[in-house]
Amino acid sequence: MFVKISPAINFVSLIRAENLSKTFKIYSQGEGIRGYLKSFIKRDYEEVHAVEGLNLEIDEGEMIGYIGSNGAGKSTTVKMLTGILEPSSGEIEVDGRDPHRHRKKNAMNIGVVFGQKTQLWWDLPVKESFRLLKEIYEVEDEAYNDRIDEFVEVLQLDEFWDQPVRKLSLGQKMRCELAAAFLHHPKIVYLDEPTIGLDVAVKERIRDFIRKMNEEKDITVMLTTHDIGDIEDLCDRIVVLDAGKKIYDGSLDKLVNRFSSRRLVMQINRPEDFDLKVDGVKEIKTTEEGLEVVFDRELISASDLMRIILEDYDVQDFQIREPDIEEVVKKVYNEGI
Amino acid sequence: MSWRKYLSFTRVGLREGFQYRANALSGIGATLISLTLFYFIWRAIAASGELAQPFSTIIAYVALARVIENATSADLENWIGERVRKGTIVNELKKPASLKFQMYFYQLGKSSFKMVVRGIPALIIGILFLNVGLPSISGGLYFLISIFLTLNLAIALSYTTSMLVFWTKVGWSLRMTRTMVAGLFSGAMIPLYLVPDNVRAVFNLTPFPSMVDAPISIYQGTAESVLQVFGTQIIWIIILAISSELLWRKAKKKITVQGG
Repeated sequence: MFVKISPAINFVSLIRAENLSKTFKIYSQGEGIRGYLKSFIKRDYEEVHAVEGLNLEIDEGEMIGYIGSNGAGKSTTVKMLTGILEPSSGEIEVDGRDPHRHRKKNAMNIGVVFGQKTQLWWDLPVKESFRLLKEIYEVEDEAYNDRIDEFVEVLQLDEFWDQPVRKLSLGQKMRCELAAAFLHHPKIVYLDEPTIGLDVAVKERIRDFIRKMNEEKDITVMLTTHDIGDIEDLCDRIVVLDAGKKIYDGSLDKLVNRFSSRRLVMQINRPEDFDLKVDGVKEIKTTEEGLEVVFDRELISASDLMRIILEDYDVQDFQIREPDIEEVVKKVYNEGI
Repeated sequence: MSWRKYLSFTRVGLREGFQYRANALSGIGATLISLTLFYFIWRAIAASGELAQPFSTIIAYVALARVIENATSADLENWIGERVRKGTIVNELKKPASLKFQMYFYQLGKSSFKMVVRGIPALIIGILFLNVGLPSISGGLYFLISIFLTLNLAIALSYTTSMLVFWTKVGWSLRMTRTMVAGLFSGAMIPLYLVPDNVRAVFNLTPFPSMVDAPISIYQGTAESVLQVFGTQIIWIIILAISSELLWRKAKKKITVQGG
């Protein structure tokens, strides 16, 4: 009798959060001198639920976008997943470990970038910071040299490699941060707003780098961002958080389809007489560009719609507009799902 | 714990010190000024003729106290305070190394630099002009050991008070308080043998006399038992290390990490 055991197959997700919550106590400061004095002596505490009942599963090699408006609880989640904050309740398992209880062990496995909070040593040349990281994350000499060569090339770090960090521009610093997070080829990299405040060219370079790392080294990436471009370019899956609660988890396409319809924009003679009664047409409005017909592509195809219109009207010009992701995300933030 | 990992923090601390030459040089200037100041203050006090010891003995003590203070300074309150206030402490907490050892080894590097650029000049000035005198060879060796223990004590003390930053959110006031109290109780401001016996008994219940008064007694060969001095220093280091660990366990829960 042979019993075949295959321990290599891992059915458990790499990151798993169950019913995760984090509550902060903050004190509210009064207004005016009287209020300040009052809150100086006696503080009224208020409970803030930064994250509430979050369930999350992320598999190895995934690249997921974690989005939500300011204060939705994105950074708090990342800080719990990295083991920095202890959850108020719920459970987290990252690569089979509780990241808070085994913070140091977990830290060897992850890379983190907190946008705008540089981890490099301010007064030291960039290369010194990297040498320190090499020691901390126990990277072998050969691997270190290879990776540095690669990072310097892809992220173009050579122009400021010998400069003290304080002399670097925001974009240069962020490129260094990215390289630092991936230096030890961790299993997971958490990027908390990595492209905030950067110009288009730098954003592009950073995105290329992240994609390369994810594809070539199979590094799982969790990305919080406000930048629609990041999500469009990088993420197959997005999780939307609102007021501490998860309101969407799935592909970007599905979210966009759910929210926005395609639009047909056209110029016709006598638009004031235009009338259309067809299933799937949601709205007809006049805009600066012409007449706009909003339709649901699940119910009617663009060609069918066009055929019907052409039967009755004299169309001079028309365009089909794809859904605008930025609009969708704005809508999700404002209205929820 | 891998030593190489932590020693690299020491290297960073050292390098940061070397980065600012002007800062190091101004430190020597500050030492000169404060020694001159102490010289005239104590000469004036001695001239009133009511001190138990001659001026030359007192000024030697005061100069040695300066040497020790310069060589064993630690400032983790501001360092941690800034990071807690701005929320960048997450960068220390995301590393696969404990905060206390990151801090300890980093400060060790910074302090070693200060020991050289601020401690040694003060000692030379003291020997040349302020009657400090040369210790015996064994006395000098013991003195170095006790200085190293004082440095550990200073770092442990600074780290312990810096844990309070998680409640106060501001570091500089903690540091001011700590240095004031330590200065008064340790012998750095007033030679402890000038303090009345019953007050001194109270001072001796604190770690501070072990930081300055004790190494001076070793340098001057007046310590009754060198081993007892070392032992007391080590016991205080252990007590402070345990206290800071207990505080850290509470502080950890206070981390809200400001901003974002």
